[in-house]
Amino acid sequence: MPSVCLYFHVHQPFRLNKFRVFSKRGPSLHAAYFNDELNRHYFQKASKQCYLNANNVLLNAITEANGEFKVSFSITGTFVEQAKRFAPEVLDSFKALAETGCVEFVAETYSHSLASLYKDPSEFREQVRLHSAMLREEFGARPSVFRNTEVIYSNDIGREAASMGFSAVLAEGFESVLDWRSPNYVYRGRAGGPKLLFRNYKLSDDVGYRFSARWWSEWPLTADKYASWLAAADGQTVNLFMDYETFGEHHWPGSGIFAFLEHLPREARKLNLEFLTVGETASRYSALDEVDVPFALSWADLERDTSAWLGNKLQRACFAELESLKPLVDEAVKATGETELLEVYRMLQTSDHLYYLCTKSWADGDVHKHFSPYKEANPYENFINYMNILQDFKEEVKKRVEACAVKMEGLV
Amino acid sequence: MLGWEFPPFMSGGLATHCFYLTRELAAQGVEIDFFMPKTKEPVSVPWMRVIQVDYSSFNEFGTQAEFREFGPYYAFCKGVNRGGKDEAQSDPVGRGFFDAVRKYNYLCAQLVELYNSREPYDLIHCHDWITFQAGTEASRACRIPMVVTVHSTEYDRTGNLQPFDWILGIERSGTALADLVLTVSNRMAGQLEKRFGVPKEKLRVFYNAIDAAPFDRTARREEFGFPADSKIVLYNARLSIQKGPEFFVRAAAKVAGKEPKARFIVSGSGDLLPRLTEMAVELGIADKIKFLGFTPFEEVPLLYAISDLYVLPSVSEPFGITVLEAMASGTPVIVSKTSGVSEIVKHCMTVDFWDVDEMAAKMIGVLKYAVLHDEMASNAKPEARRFSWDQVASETKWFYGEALARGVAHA
Repeated sequence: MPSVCLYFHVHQPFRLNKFRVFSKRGPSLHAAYFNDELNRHYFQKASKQCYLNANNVLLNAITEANGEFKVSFSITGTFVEQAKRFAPEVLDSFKALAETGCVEFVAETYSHSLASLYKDPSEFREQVRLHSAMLREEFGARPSVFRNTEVIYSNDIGREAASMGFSAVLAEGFESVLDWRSPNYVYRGRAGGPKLLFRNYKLSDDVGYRFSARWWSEWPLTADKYASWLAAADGQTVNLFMDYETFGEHHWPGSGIFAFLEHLPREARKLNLEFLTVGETASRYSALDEVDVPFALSWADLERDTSAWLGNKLQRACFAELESLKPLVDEAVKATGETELLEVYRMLQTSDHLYYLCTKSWADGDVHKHFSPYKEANPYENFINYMNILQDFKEEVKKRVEACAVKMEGLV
Repeated sequence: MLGWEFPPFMSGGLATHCFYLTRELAAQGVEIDFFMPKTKEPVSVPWMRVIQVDYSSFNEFGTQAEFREFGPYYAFCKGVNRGGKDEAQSDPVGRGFFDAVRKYNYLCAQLVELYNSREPYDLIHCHDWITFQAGTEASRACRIPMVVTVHSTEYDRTGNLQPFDWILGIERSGTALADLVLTVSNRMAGQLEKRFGVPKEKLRVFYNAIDAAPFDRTARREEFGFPADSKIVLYNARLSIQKGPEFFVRAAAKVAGKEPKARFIVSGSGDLLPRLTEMAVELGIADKIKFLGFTPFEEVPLLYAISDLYVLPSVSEPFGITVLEAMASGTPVIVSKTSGVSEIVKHCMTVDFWDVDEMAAKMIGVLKYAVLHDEMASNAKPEARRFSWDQVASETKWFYGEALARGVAHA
């Protein structure tokens, strides 16, 4: 019987302000670019519907199981910053979970960015380091497993993570790379890459996607039924990776999702299923085979590639803009010592901003639109807004470098 | 089918609609007699008989048109409908537009009856208020079902300001008496339900289409007197309150302040022209905006071809075929939210017609960011091509079937 690895991703982006070419902004870049009213609204709504309830259910389950129920979390830096600003009690409840010793925290980029895809790896490394430092400070955690933004993985990213000392990386268990192999085993990345934990997308999506789907032949999904599926699975481990917002947001409380979460650990233990964290899973099992992932693989959309963020010209133009900003921002921070520039730069890199520019299948009204906070706007309008902000930011960075240079000249 | 205009005699979308609809219906095996007013040059197409109505149309039946009041349903418009027999016959064109409409309708109704007595029709299909009275009379006399298509209402055409009660009355009774009411968007269907009380179960929505072939043209900006590196924003609609040209000119002034290479074309004629030219001068953009007047159908594709952006800021737009035309030409579009076309077209931007700042901001976005222009253009082209007249015709044919079934139920 396989062990069970439950992993939740916790993230909130800093949503953008409406920023027109006519906009006159004050001295605070954060206030000009980010809509904290909207951010507060979404954060508090999600806290009420999801985070507080789900954390409470997990805490009770861990206490009840006496150390036999474990979960893993990745929590983005932008999430933690918003928790501090908008709902400190949420951060406290995650800390309470951390203190049980049954929760493992997973490393990732601080601002949920696509920095792993830049040519120069320095920004990526800095963001991962920043995130690990945050985990240590907030939760006393030292992450050993890495998951990249949106579970984007390739051989190169694996090598990079291994060089940073991570023993394992999470990836999407998609047939395009696994072929006939089951996702329920631990594998290894190519040529000395880290161990790989592949998401069992069928069993994960049964909860994350289909749980409240009345068209589904298995609806309603009960905890005992689901536990029996887990127990019947092949291999070493069933890796269940999903957004934490599955609980209470994607599936509203009335769907029974919290009762499911509450009963699942109990039902699983009845069947002698063992829960392991991501790190424990990676260290318990030896890698069965090497998996070659030459092109970036992700957990998004049907394609499971990066087309959700980089599929069209608009997205690639913004991405190129972000990438090219790096040396400018570094220079500016060095010259002026203003770390706000770096903070804003990182928040602008959050992949959600690119996600809302997707035109791929949005004409059919799909999930991109569903999750968009910019209700009235379509990808073209979102592009104008995002690009306006990036351009304004670039000008501002240049201006500050120049101002600083003038000052230095004056001193000489 | 009862119409009012038909290419090459046209002022708007109604003629285009009738042209392609009849062509595709005929291709799908529907036999059509198309009634329309007499024009200077006769209209003729190979796929149907076009019957152009005036007094001489009655000669082949060895009879004369007789003046009669429309009624009983149009009794309330008697006050306006006061022309006597002599006046009508001595003045075939009528005095002005309203008289012309009235005379066309009563001649048309009688003529349909005569043709029907020779070879019976199955169904009457009328387009807009301008043919409703004839349709109602003829359908009653011939005892056949009537389908009406509402392309726009008096409320739309007047931008909700001072609609003519006479026309509203005709629209209300025409839609009330029709067996089925077809219209061009959900927005219009909602209005017909709310304002004329047309029951939902009688309303059918279809979306207009385009023949994309003519919109594959290329042209150079210099041919129109613009610098090669200028960025052109196009307005192409009647200059009436309904279409919101004033919002376009005001937004243009804001764009000009930010984008020095921006130039503006206003294509179309109408009663607001003097006001708009004055505005352009007041706003200091007289040298950047060209008023072209009415652009003939065959030249319109060239306008889209040289334009970087098409803007349709209508106050009330039942559908908005020009949006599909621009998209088919690969010209990005900004269209007002109060338009039918924005219900179904995704690869464009929408704006509140009164929000001039937002309109200008979006216009600047397209002019400033080449990737945005290119992405919108390349997605718009295939999207516009999805709307085919063949599809409109097969839906219409389906609605005919429904109307016939309903007509039988009534009898």
